[in-house]
Amino acid sequence: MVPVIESDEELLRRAQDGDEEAFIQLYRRRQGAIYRFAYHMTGSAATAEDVAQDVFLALMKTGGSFDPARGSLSAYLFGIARKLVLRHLDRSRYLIALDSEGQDVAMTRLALSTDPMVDLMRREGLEQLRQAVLTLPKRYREVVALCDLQEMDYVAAAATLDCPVGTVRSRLHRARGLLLEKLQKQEVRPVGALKPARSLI
Amino acid sequence: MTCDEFWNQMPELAGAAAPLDHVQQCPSCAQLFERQRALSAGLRRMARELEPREAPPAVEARLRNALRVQTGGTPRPLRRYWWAWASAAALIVAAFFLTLEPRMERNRLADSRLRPAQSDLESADFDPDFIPLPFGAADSAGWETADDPDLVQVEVPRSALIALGLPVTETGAPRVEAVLALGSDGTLRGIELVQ
Repeated sequence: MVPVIESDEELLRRAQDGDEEAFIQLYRRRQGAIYRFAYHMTGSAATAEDVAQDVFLALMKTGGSFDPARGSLSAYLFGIARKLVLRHLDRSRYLIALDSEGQDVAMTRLALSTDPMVDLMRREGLEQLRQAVLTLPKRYREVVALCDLQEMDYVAAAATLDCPVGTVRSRLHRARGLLLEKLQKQEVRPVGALKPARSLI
Repeated sequence: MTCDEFWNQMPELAGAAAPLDHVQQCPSCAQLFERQRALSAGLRRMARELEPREAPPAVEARLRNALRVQTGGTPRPLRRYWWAWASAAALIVAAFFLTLEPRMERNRLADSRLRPAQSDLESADFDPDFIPLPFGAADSAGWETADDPDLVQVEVPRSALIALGLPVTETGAPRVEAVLALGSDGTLRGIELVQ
């Protein structure tokens, strides 16, 4: 007999009726992605843990405000996580600014060693890339975290970010351009390259 | 296809497996395209490396507790912030010393008003107004005779005293005069509230 996999929405409905196990099942299903999103955005495991917890605490208290017509429950949870992450980043912006200076120096040092694009195939290259993602402006970092690192489709990302799909595409395009710039540390780029697909930024 | 048309199809093209017509004809786009693909591959690898990561089991336990509180059940003891509370207590004690404004020189058993006689110490009949610290600790009873305490008169923020659980009202002057008894190892052994 094939086990029936309940949808997120069904689990939420049961959880709202007081079914603890349904809530925990929903948590187990979605917490990993939420945790990783917060981790990619902040670079902090402790913050990611807090965000994962607070997202589900919020769901516990305000799950009734979830509207399936506006997007999936997953997108709704990512939306809450995003707000918490942005709040955290706003609070710690000075610390991040100081960190970023150090990261740039480290990235420059690494970039001098060899072709950073080749480096991406190595562990130190990935660390360099991780640091580059963390130094992206927030609006670009979040699309990279959602679309590239969480493999979320553009529609779901748009629902999470509460913006048009075209904005997601253009921000992602720009984000990748910025990442390449950071990794290459070169100002020269081909004409027409890395131009946003649409001027929606 | 022009360069602009080609790049306007990004970012979807970054995931393309086979070389595209325009890339084969345009060296500059080909170079940048390769970089985009390397970047995409790097991001995918970064995502894979982090895939096993998830919130620690303690988060689930805390959520269960919160759920039971919300539904009227019996929560398990919440241990999430025990270390934070311990750190906060340590910080408060440290702040105790950092914010001190010594108004009298350190008196090593000299001030008879504060310390009537050495024999008092030895007989454990130390000033009964002194409160042993840590406050409420079971093993603090023998503090008076443990070593040869120094006495320091200071002003302490009222909030710090309240945070330590000492019997201080919340109203009144923001700073409270107190006498601290310091052990020979520098630890705080007792406190007397002067006001």
